[in-house]
Amino acid sequence: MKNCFGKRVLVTALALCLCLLQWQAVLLPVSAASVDVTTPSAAASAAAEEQNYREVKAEYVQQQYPTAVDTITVTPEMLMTGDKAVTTQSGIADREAPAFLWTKETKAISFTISVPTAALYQVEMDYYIPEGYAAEAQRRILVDGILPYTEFNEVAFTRWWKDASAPPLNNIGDEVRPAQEEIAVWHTMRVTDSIGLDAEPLLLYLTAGTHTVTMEYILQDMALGEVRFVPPLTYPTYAEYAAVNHQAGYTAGTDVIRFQAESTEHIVMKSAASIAQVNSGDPCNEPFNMKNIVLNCMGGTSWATAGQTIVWTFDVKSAGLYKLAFWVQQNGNDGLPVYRQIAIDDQIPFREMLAYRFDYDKKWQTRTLEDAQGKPYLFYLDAGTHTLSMTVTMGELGDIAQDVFDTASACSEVLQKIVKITGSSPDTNFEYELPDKIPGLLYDMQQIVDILHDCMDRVQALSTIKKPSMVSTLNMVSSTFEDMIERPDYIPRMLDDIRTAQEQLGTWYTTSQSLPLTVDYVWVAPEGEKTVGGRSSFWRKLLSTCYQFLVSFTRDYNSIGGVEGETSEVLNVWIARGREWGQTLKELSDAQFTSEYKIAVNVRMLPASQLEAGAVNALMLAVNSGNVPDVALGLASTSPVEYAIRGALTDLRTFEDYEEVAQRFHPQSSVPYAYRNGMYALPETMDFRALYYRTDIFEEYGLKVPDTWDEIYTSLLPALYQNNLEFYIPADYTPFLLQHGGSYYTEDHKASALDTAIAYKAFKEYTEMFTSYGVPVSANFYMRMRTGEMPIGVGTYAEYAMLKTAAPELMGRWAMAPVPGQLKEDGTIDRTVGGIASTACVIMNGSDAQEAAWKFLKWYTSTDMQLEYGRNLESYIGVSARWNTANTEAFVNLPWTEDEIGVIRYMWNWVKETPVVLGSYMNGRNVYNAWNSVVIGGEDPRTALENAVETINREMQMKQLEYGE
Amino acid sequence: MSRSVAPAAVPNSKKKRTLQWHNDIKGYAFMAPFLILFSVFTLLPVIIAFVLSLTSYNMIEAPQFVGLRNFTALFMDDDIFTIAVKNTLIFAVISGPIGFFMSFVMAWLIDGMAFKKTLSLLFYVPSITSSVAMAVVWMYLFSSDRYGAINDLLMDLGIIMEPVLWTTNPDTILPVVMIISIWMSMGNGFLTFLAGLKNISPAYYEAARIDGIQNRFQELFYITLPQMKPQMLFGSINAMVAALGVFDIAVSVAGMPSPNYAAHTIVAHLYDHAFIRFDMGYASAIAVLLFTFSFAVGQILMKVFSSKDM
Repeated sequence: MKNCFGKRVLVTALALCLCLLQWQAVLLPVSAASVDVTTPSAAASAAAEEQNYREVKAEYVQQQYPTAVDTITVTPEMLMTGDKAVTTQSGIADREAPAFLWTKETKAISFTISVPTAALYQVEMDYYIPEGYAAEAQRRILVDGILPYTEFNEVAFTRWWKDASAPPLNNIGDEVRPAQEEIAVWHTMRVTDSIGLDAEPLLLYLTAGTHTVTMEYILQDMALGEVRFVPPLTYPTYAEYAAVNHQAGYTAGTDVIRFQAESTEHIVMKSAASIAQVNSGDPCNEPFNMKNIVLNCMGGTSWATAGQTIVWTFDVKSAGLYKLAFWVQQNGNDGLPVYRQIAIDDQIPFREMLAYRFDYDKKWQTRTLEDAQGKPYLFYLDAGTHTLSMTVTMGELGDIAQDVFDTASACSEVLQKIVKITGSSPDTNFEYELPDKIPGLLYDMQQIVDILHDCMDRVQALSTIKKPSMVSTLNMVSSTFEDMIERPDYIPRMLDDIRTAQEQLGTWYTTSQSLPLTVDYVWVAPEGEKTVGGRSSFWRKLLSTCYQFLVSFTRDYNSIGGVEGETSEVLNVWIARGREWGQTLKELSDAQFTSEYKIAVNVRMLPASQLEAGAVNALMLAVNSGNVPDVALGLASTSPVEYAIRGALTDLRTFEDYEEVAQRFHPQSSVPYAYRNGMYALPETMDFRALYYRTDIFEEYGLKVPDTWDEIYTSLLPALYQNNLEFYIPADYTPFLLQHGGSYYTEDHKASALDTAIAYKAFKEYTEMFTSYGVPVSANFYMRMRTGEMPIGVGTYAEYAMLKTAAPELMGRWAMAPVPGQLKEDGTIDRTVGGIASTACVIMNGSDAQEAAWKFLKWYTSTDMQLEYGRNLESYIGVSARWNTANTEAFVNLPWTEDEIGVIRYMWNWVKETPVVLGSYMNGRNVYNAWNSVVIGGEDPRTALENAVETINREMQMKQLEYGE
Repeated sequence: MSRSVAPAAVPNSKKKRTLQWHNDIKGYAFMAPFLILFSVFTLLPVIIAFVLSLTSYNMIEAPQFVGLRNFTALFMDDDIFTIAVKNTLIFAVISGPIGFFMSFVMAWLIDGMAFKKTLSLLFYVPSITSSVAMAVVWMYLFSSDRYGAINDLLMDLGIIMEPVLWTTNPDTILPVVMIISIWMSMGNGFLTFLAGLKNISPAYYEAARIDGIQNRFQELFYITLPQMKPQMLFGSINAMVAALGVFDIAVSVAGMPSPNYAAHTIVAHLYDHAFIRFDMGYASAIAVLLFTFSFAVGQILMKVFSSKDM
């Protein structure tokens, strides 16, 4: 007690010091605090620094920067890699001037420009993309090592396409989409916003002096010609344009031109192969056929993404002033308008054509390009051939979409702040007093509400119907936040609502970018000419609908056959996939396989589950009745052996060149198709395992991507839990078992190998993940990754596809890494995982066209075919249909980014697939049951595993007895 | 019934017999469409199942005769079959009678209410909807994470802290499946009972009232129930067969096979052997047992509900 006083003084002094420090901390950022009430974390502010074009452009306007007057040209010889000049070559695609062929070996190039006076520029480039995968090329552009704004992150270089022929007829007389041909020539483009939020090419402010511009490779090889920094394009208003025409003494033209928008003769170019002719069953369309499908319109949902362009050509005989009118239907976005940028001969004639609005209407309409008073715009066209291009752009919706997007991010931030205090599953009975603990929380929420209300008003103003669903969604989200502001005590209970809100806003943003327009025909006519399309009467519609209904009884929609030319044999191919897959396969096989081998191919589509063992399926019934197809595609990886055991499949080893063909695949992906000494299937698609994580959150909390499970247990999980975040791992025993050096079966495949000490150790670790370390047993990883609550987890190709295509707001904010592994004694990390085999293709034993079937499989799995198949699928259906082919060479050539394919290839070294053996269905089932008993039932892991082994072994023995092993 | 008695009663005259034969032929001709379909699609498969139950048949290669081996294996070696029988019996004992009882009560209540037709329709709708589609709706309620409606409600009320894993936890799977299947199967019995209730002549109630019946419950016990015996018989057999045959709801709720076989019914076991393990012979043996069992139960129910005059 003697030292008591001294101690007190010391403590008080310390406390004072601390107080002062705190005080300083409070004092210093006063100015910042008044703007942003909450203190943003490091990562958040870093993200805020990265401006988007809208913000930058506002600044440009505010600063009244002058526009450039002269062009700065960068020739290919001036491009550098590192400190060396790049190798240029002439003659690339008939270009006499030298150009630089930029393959992925060159990560980045740079060049210097000297700017005479500070001014606004636009960037123009000559490029050529060699024929290849459907994806556009992408590059990142940095000026002086800094990203000018986010739009420069992914500058897209479009590939151009055209139909190879008019739509051909299939066997039932329907028109099908024509094959696509790439127009691989040199193109010139100005850098524009790829989402179409802004209709004009992007402006870039360059100060006077020298600048180093760097371009980084992201996707696809391409050749680069000149890069030019050019004065921005300016557009006259219509009044000015008309005045010029008037002065020139132009008079009304005399031609009346009407052409079909879907006609391949008139379509010269499309910016995507997926922009296609569509069928409209409304008799008012031309041409119309009650019996068969005719592709009588252009566009529709296939022409809805910003930047997608269609270029038509038409001839004018007499020069003069013409109006443009379209027979269109715009019923895509409930009540909202769509916009098209219209250019004549590649030039936007006047400002009003930058984003011309097409209002929503369910009925077919004549839309004349006209001003607000309904007076048609008149274009001067001289005699000769002209082009008309229409490009999807977001128009007035762009600004709103941007606001909604920002709000979605704001929701995520609000949620993360709350979760930091409450955890992702708050105690609803506890009063967290969130508004006190998170200063500015209610202010942020009010901000969200205000912006949303503003957006609602703006959307409503654009809409032609009373209450479009797009407004209702925003209304729902905003009322959620209004509720929370009203009763802050309820916020912890409403976390799910914030998650839903974020999800809804994200979906809203994606939906708002879909701007479909269906065009049937186009008029180019003098002003006085009457241009009205004929709408069809009720009776005509009724008649055609009834007729189509009756016809539907006589048609087989699931089978595509019909072959032209001479063929010796016919192959029946069953494919457990949707119509587009079947159609694409049929087109390719007709074009390549049938013409080369003179073997006709009939494709029959079946629902996905119909070819799998373990269900009442068509293939088994077919085998049963002796009426088998020759080839079946899309079988689940466990099915082939089940059929093979019972003698229904052909052993592919009987074909001489099997080994050669097998080289196309990852060796492990064939493992599940081996039975005894035979090989009963070729891999068709493959999967991968990877660790997905949110880079922004990892940066914010200073987390490290784990390499081993130990790192996860000791450092990652505690760090995550401290911040109320979670880790995701699917209930999959395989990586644990394999990484400990175990396997599911003994070497002779006759018994379960789960009775070893290794297996037990692995099983214990696996279950402890859920019992001791509290990793959630069931969760929607993709959803929670999106909201940021589960910033890291193990996933497959499915997660990749979802993150890539369905979560636009996460673009650039997540990354892939190898799956964590076990640290071995020698210091290496064993990352072995399973799950590479996905679907398979087989030849049926009952088929009498064995050789032909093998030829077909060889053709089907070849690199070129797989690449083309994947490309066509992606162009027809979109990125979501990315074809994860099992052909390794083709797989690598899919448009992955370098980081992604790096991880995937690395994981290929660590794949070990589990064979399918007699009675192996009992394995997965019992391992799951054992897991369930331990994790949910609280049973002892050893007992649970031993029970499982016993049951597995009994079943295996029974099956071995039955099939004589 | 009268026809089968007729030949005995009529004197043995050739003419009459020919006439009888002509009449019979007409009768059979009218029944023929049904008889043919019935024998081809019901009778024949049952017989084939009996035959297959004595073989080892993998659906692709020809069946091999194995005698009673399938049955001995089923009774002696198959632990999971025991679980399946247990689950099925629990089902039959609990959800059969509950479904039966509830559909009767509902029919009785609704019969006396306004908007009878609308209400009947509402009760019948679940039975005509696909069970898989219905399961989707129920999965929304019983979803295992905190997004599930029931979990959410219970957590809001503070009854539970952690979400209940309704369809993963073996303890809760069976009750969940029961609730859904009771709800779905009620419609059929309900409709039968409603028809039965309409069938009773109001004269009985009038007469009874004169004879001194006091309230609706007495009406129920003394008139309604005895009058409805045929419908009760039909309803009970229906409920029983439905309970014994529960399968697709269980699969859509808990998956196939369900965690630790918690919702593994006899039909699920049958499916497992037939289509996952390709053991058609064994599956047929299970089918034969199930058939025998439901037949026996049907007979017992007949005994209980049938009156002497039937």
